Amino acid sequence: MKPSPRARRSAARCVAKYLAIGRTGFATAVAYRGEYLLRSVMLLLILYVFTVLWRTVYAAGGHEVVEGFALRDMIWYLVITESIVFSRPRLAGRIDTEVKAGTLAYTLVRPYSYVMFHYAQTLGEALARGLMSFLVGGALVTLLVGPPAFNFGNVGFFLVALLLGATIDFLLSFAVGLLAFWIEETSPIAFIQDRLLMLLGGMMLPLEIFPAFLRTIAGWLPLGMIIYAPARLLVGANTLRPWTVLATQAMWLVVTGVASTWLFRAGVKRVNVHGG
Amino acid sequence: MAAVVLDSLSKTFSTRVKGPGLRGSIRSMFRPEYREVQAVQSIDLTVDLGELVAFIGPNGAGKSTTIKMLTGILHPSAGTASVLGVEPWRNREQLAFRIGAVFGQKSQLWYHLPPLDSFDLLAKIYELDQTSYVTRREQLVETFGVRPYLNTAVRKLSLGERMRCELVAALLHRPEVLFLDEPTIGLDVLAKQTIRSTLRELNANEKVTVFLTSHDVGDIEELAKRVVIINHGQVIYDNRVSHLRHMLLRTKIIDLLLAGPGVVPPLPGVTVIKHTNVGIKLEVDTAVQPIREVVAQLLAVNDVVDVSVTDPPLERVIGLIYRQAAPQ
Repeated sequence: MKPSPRARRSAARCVAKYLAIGRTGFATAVAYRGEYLLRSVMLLLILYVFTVLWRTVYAAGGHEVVEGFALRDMIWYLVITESIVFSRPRLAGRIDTEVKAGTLAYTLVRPYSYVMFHYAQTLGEALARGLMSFLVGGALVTLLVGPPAFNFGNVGFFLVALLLGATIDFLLSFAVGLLAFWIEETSPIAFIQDRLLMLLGGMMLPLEIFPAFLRTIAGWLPLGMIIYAPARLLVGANTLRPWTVLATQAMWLVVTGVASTWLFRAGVKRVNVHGG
Repeated sequence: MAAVVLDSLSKTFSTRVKGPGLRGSIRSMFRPEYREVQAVQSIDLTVDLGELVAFIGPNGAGKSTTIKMLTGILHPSAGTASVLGVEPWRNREQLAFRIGAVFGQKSQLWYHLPPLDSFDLLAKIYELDQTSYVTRREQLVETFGVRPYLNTAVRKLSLGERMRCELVAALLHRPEVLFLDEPTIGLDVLAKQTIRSTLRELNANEKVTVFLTSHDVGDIEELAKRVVIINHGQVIYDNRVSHLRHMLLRTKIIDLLLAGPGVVPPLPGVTVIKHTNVGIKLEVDTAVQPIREVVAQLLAVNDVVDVSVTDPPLERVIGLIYRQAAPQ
């Protein structure tokens, strides 16, 4: 069955709606130049310290390549993982506030889906921050260790994996924020989620470097699919199978998607308690 | 045709009750006790297209709960309602295109961005055509006089400036019904007047149905023709604003300006509010004492410079209704 021109037109408008919301997210992220600058300084500091650190480690170990990573790869891996972590908005906290203040209820008066609204906004913000981090960090690292030796054949897979990873991260944080319908304070949970993501998601180290048991634990969690997997497709020995990564991400997408949809449905019924 | 119909609409909240102190907290963790609160009890109401209705009541009377059900935010516990022929909570997104809402206590604009960006984004959200959007925006910007603030971030606007922008935002998509929940709360006299006169014009020119809640008697007097008063979740008054005074108030206020010290003739049904060297203020119960008689006697015995007979302020009338409807 062919879609009628009218249906096609309204679908186009629907897409335009969420694109506009994403653009607003982008604009919000760059609205504060001071914060934007401070983030970049932080990132440069981290990258510089880690470069010095890894130089010493590689020199002391006496190996050119560790687990498929040359020194240069290790630093560029960091540029990508740090850019992903720096790009994340504090979504869980934002949803938590909206639930508690009752503003969630007010956004329901508008003709859009609450989940899609936040998804579009989050992606817009993440794009602004992530791009900036990658450019600033990449420039410094190029000066320190030279240009990247990416697996350029994987760029397409990398971009898809990046988007899927960001979506999994979004759904997880959205679910954590929605817990505010049932518990007083969700920030400890968000804190744990953030730290676990940094440690077991492979922000500082590629998962190969972990001891076996930690690798096993990390393998059972979706966190590696957010940071490690996309970064790894682009940097280091080209041993990751792209389709396996995408399939695993798709599986986690379904799990986190079902969980947060269920929480949202159950939560909206409780809006009355907080909406007063 | 009716714009808004409420048919025995009811909403019951169950809230958790906790005993005092730590013992109460622990007990409620294991054996939670719930208390039912009837926020809205079987309200029947019909608002016609193009009407401007003030929906008032004391705090906790159920006004906001009703508006939230009518905008599709809350599901009712019993009864039903329709807005423009649609059940709000079933077809929330569909109805959202045809209604507008302003909640005085919550901003709906993007806090960090200038209003113009919010308007552009709303045009996309409401799927408006670019040309008709720009025409409409320019018209509203002109009527509400918000052009100077269009490019200032919302967080830097004053409350009055922001509220006018909120109204522009709520009207961009030409809603057929506009829900206003305390739109003038916290505003100065001038800002209130601008908003009231603009709303009156919009209601007259575009036939927008306006459903308004407020604690401000000025909003009711200057805007609405019809007033619905609710208390304890029930409608206790539904009639014209002008009718409020006549029906409930059998009292009149007489204010006299005198050339010298005055005398108040002893009459039944007359209470002295104020008596000074240059004036007398009286309240007359017109059911007991005809106003004509009181004025005649006052003029006969006093050296009167000026006289005025007025109704008591509407605020007192409403206070009277609230108190009369207090629980048994």
